[in-house]
Amino acid sequence: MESKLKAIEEKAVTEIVSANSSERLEELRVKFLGKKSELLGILKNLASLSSQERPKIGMLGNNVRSAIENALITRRNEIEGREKDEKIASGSMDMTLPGKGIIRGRLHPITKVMDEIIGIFERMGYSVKEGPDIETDWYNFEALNFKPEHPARDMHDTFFVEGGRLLRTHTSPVQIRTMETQKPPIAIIAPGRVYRCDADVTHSPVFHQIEGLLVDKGITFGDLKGTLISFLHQVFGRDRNVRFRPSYFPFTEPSAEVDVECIICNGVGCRICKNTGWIEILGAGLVDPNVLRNVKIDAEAYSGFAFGMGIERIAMLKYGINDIRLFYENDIRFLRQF
Amino acid sequence: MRIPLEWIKEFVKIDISPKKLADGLTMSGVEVSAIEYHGKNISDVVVGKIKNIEKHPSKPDVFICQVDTGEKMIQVVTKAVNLKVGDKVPVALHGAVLPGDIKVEKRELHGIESFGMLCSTVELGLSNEAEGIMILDRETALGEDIRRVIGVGGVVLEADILPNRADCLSVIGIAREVAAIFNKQIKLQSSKPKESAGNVSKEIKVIIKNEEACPRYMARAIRDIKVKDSPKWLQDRLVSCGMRPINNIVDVTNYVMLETGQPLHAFDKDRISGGAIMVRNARKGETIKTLDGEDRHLEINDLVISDDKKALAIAGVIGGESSAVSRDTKAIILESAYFDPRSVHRTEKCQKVRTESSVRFEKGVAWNGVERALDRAASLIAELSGGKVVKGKIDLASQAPKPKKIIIDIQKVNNSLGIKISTKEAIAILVRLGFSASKRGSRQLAVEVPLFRAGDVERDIDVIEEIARIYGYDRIQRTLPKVVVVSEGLDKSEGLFTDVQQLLINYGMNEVKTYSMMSEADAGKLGDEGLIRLTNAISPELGIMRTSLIPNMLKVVKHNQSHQIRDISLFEAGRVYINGEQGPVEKMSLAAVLTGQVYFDYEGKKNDPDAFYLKNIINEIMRLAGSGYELSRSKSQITHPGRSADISIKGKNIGTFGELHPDVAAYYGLKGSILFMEIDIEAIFSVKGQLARFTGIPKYPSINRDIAMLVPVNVENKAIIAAIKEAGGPLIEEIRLFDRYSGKQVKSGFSSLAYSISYRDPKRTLSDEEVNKKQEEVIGILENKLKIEVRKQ
Repeated sequence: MESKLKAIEEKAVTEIVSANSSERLEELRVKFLGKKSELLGILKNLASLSSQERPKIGMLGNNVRSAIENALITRRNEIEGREKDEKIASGSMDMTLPGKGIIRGRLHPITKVMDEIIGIFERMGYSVKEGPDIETDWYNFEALNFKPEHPARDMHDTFFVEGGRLLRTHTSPVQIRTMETQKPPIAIIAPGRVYRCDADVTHSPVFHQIEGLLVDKGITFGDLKGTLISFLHQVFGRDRNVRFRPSYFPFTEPSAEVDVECIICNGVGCRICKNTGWIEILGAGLVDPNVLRNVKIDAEAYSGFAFGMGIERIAMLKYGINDIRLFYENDIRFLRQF
Repeated sequence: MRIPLEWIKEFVKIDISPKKLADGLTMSGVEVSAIEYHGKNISDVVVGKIKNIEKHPSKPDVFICQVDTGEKMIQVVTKAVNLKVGDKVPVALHGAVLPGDIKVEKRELHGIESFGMLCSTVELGLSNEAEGIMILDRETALGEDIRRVIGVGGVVLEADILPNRADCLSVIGIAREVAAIFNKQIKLQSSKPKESAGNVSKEIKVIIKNEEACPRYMARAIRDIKVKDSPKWLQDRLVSCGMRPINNIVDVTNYVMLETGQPLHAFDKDRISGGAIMVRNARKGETIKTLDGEDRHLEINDLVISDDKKALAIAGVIGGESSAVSRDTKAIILESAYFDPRSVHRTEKCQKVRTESSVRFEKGVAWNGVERALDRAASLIAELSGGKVVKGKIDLASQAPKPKKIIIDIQKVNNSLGIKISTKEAIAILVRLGFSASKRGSRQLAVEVPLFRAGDVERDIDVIEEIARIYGYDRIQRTLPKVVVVSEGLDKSEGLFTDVQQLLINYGMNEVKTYSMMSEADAGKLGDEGLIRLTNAISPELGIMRTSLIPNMLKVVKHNQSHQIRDISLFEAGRVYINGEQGPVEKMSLAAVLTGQVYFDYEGKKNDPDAFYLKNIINEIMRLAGSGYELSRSKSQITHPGRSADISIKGKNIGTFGELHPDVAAYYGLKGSILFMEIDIEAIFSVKGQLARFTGIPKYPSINRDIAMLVPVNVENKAIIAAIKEAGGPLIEEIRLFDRYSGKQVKSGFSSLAYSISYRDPKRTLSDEEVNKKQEEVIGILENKLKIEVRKQ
């Protein structure tokens, strides 16, 4: 009997060790430990043995059962571990495949540049103001000191609408609208669309400007310089040279054109800056006393400065875009670059 | 305006490089946009550098040089002995032209190929003799055009004159600027013509009928002239200023205009009928053939110069053919006048013509320059045509303007500019600019504005600008405003707008910007009223202010589809315009258009969005705004009637979304189904939104029950939800549609829907029995009320 049990153990362990799957292991468990197994048969029949043999065989039988169980556990752990590794290995994917899901859209480059500029001035304490695109002659010209029949009006190729109004040629009317309703100190920026009947590589009938206005006591031309240089350094970099040169606008006096060192050639001279090394970015100046008078602000007590810039132009320089029409064509291959 | 540097130097002695001069002018308000170097009969000669020198193998006096021209290395053979390696020299390249019309070509010299010629000062026309090749400064830029280096011939400055600076539309005006900038003296020589016998009043009579439009009119008569070509120097000057030489008389009038800024006109005296000229308004229906060959119909506001029969010229703008100086002309009447700027400007616009003359008059010429120019031109004409200047001159003038006097406080100058300039320096600047200025008391300046600046300097601030621009904007220290400005911060709509933009971007939409105008045909498609039309549109495509963002966005889709782009999702936030009762109304609109995919997957899951993708976006926007909304079948003309809805908030229509009507898509030439939405974003911003309020995370579990059903197609989701809520009462926490199918496996007239209902009581744990009971009530109401077949599990 003893040798029979030993033989069972030996056979079971051998077969378990060579089992190769969980299923096979389960078959072996049933075969060696199941209700119909030889081992269980022996243990069931212990009663038929002599009292001398019974405890000996009983203990041996239990030992054999434990040994088989242990072998099963060990082998099961081995097989399950291997099977898990195999499953992981077979689940390997090509991680160079493209991504899935929604591809995020893009903001239009004009919006990006506009937001950047607005952000800079908002941090300096300016508030955003808007005005209508369809304006009156008073707001677009007259109140801004463009006299009737003055040649300066010819510089603005104006669209007119039925009924005598016009499409604003600049965002400067917002200056007037603000000063009419608000007392100094005033610090505003006015982004928006403007219109000129003109269309070629560098002119679009619709384009965007941002206007700035600051009115308070004791504002100087030096303040205008400081403000705009600080702004331009934030947009184009700290080490970029900026220059102010005299210019003419009916609504500012003295007036200035503000240039930055050409960002393409760094001032050496190239096609973009027409070999001057400079690129015109802003028009600016101290608010003309006639304008203050037109909005009933005391020109002796208050002074201020105003400035304006074309957004397309800045975006073209910033991104190296060579044709203004691209902004309005909205080719997806263009839009997705920003 | 084009200004030859030599000409400026006739009035101001100056010895600086053209570049420096140009920079000085630019930084003081005369923007020099280009400097042109006009070599006299020289072309294709550049600066080269000697890289290597070898003796000719057989001829000891011949050298073979390798020369770097900046662009390439060329071999040149020379006999010059003054060269060493490293020297910079003028190199005439193959095809170059040298003074005397000498052409340089590549050729063999003593059996060695030579691709050009090294030049001496003689060959460049700079001197009569030379010792060897001209050795240039070491700093000279390699490859530079030699004309720029040696300044041979004329340097011409191309300057943009500001519209308020009429005085700078002349060489003398620019010379005055140069003198002021570089602290030099300007020298103006007076030139009185030598007068011969006779009396001008016997030659011609002048009658001014409109003194307002012509406050001053001067004339001289010149007899016995011989009309011929001008001398070369005069022709060259005109050409370099961009004008065409015609004959010695016309050329002088142009020359003097360029020099002084005062336009002049010469009439053929023998072709003036009646011995008198009249300055009057044109008559109704009057015509004139002008020098540009146009037959012009004059308006009664146009000022003309006429004889007793007809108009001879449009005053200050353009001459007429009938009285033009020709080769047969023997005597002329020379006109120099002051025409009113507004009158000339009106005529320019009315006749659609701008001339060198009219641009000067429209900005205002100098009152006292009228006479100087007349005398200058008369003496030049006499000199060049052999003519005799008849004694005397006609001068009909209303009251001469007095120079404007302005008192200015130096403190105000400094306070406006943020500088500390002394009275003395300010006076010096003004005097250099031709103003008279003196000290008045301790802080004030008494300034008198010269007549040539009468048009643009009228107030103290104008004088301050004069001081500032010559003082130099560069020298003004940068400061920051000494104020504390309280920013109003962002208003609600600004923040919300940014959120909406970000939302759309995260849904894969690209922002576009389209023109604010659309076409009549677009308006017809939309069927909108209250259109705002442009009276001077650049094209019919852009003739009407847009009432919707959609038409232009559809054109963007078309553009992209025609470039083989299939997946297109766009949004635009911009204004739309309609005529309201109180005039034009502008509203911010938000629109999106999409076609093709937005979700990218390459493993077979087609996810072309439909209208419900947009609905989800609208939900999200409304959630941002904190607003509820209602939907109804769309009444828009451009939507697919069964697949679109109008959106309203509290009964007010605020937008539309859905599929574009296939006919509209076809009209715009679009492929595939096109989805769009457009909403009045301002209406959404103005909603007093509910601020988010926290409700506790449920402590007790929910019980979920799924319910599958066959629903008649005319029963809407909305009704099912309402019915479920009605039966389920407050225990229902959420109802979620998780499957929908209609097709072959479902009987016709029905679709198969499956909802998941979640029951929860926030205060206790629900029992299965309760939920089962509720669920049965739900099934009952669906079956009985809505005739839905609920599938039993």
